Amino acid sequence: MDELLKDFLTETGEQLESIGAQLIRFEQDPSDARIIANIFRLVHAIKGTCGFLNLPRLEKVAHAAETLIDRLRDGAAPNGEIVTLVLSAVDRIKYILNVLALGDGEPAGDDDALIAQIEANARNVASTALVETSGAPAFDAGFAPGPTPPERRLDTVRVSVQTLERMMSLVSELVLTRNQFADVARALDGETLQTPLQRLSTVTADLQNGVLAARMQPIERLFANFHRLVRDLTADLGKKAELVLHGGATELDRQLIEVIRDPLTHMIRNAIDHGIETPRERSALGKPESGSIRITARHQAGHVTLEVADDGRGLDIDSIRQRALALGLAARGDLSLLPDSELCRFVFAPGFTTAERVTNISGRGVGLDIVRANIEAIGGSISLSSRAGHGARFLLRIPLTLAIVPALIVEAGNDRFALPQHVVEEIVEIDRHDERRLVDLQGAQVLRLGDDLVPTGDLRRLTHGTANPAAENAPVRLALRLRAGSHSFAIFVDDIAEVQEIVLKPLPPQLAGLSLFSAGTILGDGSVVLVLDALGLGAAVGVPNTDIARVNPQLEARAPAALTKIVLFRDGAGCPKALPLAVVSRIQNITTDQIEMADGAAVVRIDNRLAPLLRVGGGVPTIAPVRPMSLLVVEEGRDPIGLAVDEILDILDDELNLEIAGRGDGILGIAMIRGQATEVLDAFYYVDSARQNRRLTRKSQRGARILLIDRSAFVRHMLGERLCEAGHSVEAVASAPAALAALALEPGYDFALIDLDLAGKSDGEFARQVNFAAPLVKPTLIGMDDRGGASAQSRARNAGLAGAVGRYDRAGLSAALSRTVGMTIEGVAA
Amino acid sequence: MSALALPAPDQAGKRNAYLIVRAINENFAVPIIFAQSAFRLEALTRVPLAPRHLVGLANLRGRIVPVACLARQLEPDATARGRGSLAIVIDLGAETFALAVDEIDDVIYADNHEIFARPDQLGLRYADFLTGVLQREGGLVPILDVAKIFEFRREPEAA
Repeated sequence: MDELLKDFLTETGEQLESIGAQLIRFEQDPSDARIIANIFRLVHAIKGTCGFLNLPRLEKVAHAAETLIDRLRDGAAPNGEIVTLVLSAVDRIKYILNVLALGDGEPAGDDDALIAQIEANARNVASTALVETSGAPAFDAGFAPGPTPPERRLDTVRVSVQTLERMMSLVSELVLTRNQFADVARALDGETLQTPLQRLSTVTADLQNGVLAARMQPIERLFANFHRLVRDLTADLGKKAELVLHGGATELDRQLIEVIRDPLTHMIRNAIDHGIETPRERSALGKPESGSIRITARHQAGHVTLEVADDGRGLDIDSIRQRALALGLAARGDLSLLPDSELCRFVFAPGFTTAERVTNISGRGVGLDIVRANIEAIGGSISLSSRAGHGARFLLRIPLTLAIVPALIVEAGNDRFALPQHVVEEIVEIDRHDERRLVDLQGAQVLRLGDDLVPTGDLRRLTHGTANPAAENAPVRLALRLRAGSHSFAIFVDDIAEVQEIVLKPLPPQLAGLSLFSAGTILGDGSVVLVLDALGLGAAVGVPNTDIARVNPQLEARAPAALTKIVLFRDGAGCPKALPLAVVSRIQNITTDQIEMADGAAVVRIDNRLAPLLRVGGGVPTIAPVRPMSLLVVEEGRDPIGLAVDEILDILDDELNLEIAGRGDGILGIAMIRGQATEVLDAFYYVDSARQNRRLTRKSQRGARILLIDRSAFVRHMLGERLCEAGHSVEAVASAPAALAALALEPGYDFALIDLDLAGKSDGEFARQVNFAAPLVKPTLIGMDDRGGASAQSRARNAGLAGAVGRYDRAGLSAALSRTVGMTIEGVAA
Repeated sequence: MSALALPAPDQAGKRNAYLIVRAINENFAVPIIFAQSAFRLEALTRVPLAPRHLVGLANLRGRIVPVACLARQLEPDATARGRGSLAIVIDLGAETFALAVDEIDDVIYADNHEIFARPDQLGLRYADFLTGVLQREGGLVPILDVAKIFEFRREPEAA
């Protein structure tokens, strides 16, 4: 793009940011002619440059806006309509500028309607002005610029961020060189060198601070937009609110200013939509008609704290309680015990909204969870407090800069890596022989930390691809518990060398594909060290691949005690195993001499019928010596199969929460049951292996077309496979938007099976959108969650779905599919 | 890490300047327009799971640059080969990397007629990594395609 145009775009962009705030200030105080002069000058400058750069469309809009503003300058009273028109013109200018920035010239189309409106208004205002000022000319023929305000000389220089980054690295390098120099000076009796060395040190330190300060910007830049936001929102909602800003001079890294822009915008929207009452309500309550939203920024202990407070009605604790209950975030009993301050935290859960109606401003329930995730991703925190009738207050704490973070320098083999401190939750020493803490499951190591089971990896293995027996067999090892999104996992390291502040440097683009590392840094001794990426490490260790904006760990830990009846049993060596009781039709005791061998397979008599008998992990039980065994009868369709196990331990109600996904082969995953890691088996795997030969004949004549929507790749794979096996054709996607696209592009799906968390984002929204996307042949919508059951059914109904099933409940799924389609799809079950 | 001065490209512009480097006991020519500077390789930071010819990351005056080894890229199967002791900083505009070689021999200038642009027709061993061949008194010198040298052609080594 033309350099000239580029300069024009950046400069104008910045100036435009301030114009919105200025207009509103002008509306509040029309006597401030200085402000209107500023606005006028800006638009005038845009218009002038347009002619020069040959941008006719932009020029026309700017000209119209200028004419209108000029009327104001001449003393016409600014009314709401004029301000709105000027703002629309500014928006149009911004739009054209944005298109220009793409490098393809001005967008097609014209702005005649807007311009006509502006001109009509300018004429009106002019005629009013004529009446009021009696004798002033109706309007200028052509444009008379009038006295140009004196040019303010700016003593700033525009510097690209890359230049600043480069200066940062050079300063770091200078510090290193200074250190080396100091070493040399000490070695040679440094008397004569001491003074210049001292001076070098001082200068270097000053330079470092100076360069850091150059990256900082006052938060005011961000505040400027908020006046406009508040004005627009209050106008839309028929409310009145005043924005009060404190601490605009507080400086923070410019990168961070961009990161917190959206979260702050979101909070202001929330405050106006949910918090501030209508003027009538407010005066009835004895409050001033106009509400206030106060944003305060200040430095505090190496952080910036931002407070967004309103004086509205505060949070409706009762509806939060109800909503939390409806979403299954906590049990009724727990909810009544939680203090209000704790309840406030639920609003950060995904899909949470208490707004009775969804407005285009807020209440869609997608937001605060993402706000929280974004803030936490940069090492900050967010909290919320509220007083009924007095207002709500968000408190954000964010680091000063993203460029420098405290980090642990860890060792693995001969390598050193840096690990940002904010992802490290805990450092623990693990005794290698402590089997209660270190559990071997399916060949993977799992660590028990508190009540949690977390997948565990060894940093050396992850980064070398090889093991080091000497280090791994050390009696005591260091494990770091890390957080990746909402999940926790642990890695073993050989040692922690030190903790230091590191300057994050982007990795060369060629290395961007290495998911284990997010950045590089240069340590004090000049060596390059890679910075580990928690999400990448987590994926390598086996943490389920989830969206970062998912439920936060605190909420998950407290999540529903939805109980499942579980059969707990022991078979062979290793940890206990479990099956949901729902899939077991009966448990009976047998002795091994009841097992008969036929056609190379074991069979057993159940209800006078021969049924195939299987063992966990395959194989055939030894018949002699005769000993008692337990038989779990799994019945699907008419033919039962028997699963022989050594001993039934218990039947109990517990939360069946798969913490680690299984690797196939009959294991659905691993759950904590009664404080013990337990393998949860996939009963249908055994049914299938017993019926391998029969399956083909039982396949349905015509399979259904099914769209499967689930965030988990594991579930998409598992269910997809099963449904395909049953003769259906399946398309699997990961999100609701992708599903809608699939439905719109390729109508004719019979079913859409959707993760309830995706369908439930807001009541009925997905169902409505499906209606819109596939109006003619609407698929039957069925929700899924882990457990199925009544709560799932009610969530499904709320979301406008036909019903719900559990993901692992194959019989239920088959029933749902056949019931709704009104034909026998027996194959689903087989 | 000491920087070595590189000769400036020929001002006349008609002739093309090349650095003659040595690796795996052969000479190669590197177009000097891509070469920024050269430095002696000291401590390198290994990059786990990176392709084999990416021998590490170097600290180049506060900037982190990946170092690609010419020998390892040309002969991926060569075992236990040293990584070379010198590195030439190659600037490809969008990306910068360092090319590790055994030696930097010479700077030469060549006229267009001294360059043969179709190395693929000569049946050379490393034809994929060459843009041409340079005729010199001593014989022929292959001209390296520096962008290709750094490309990650193969899958990263398995974990």
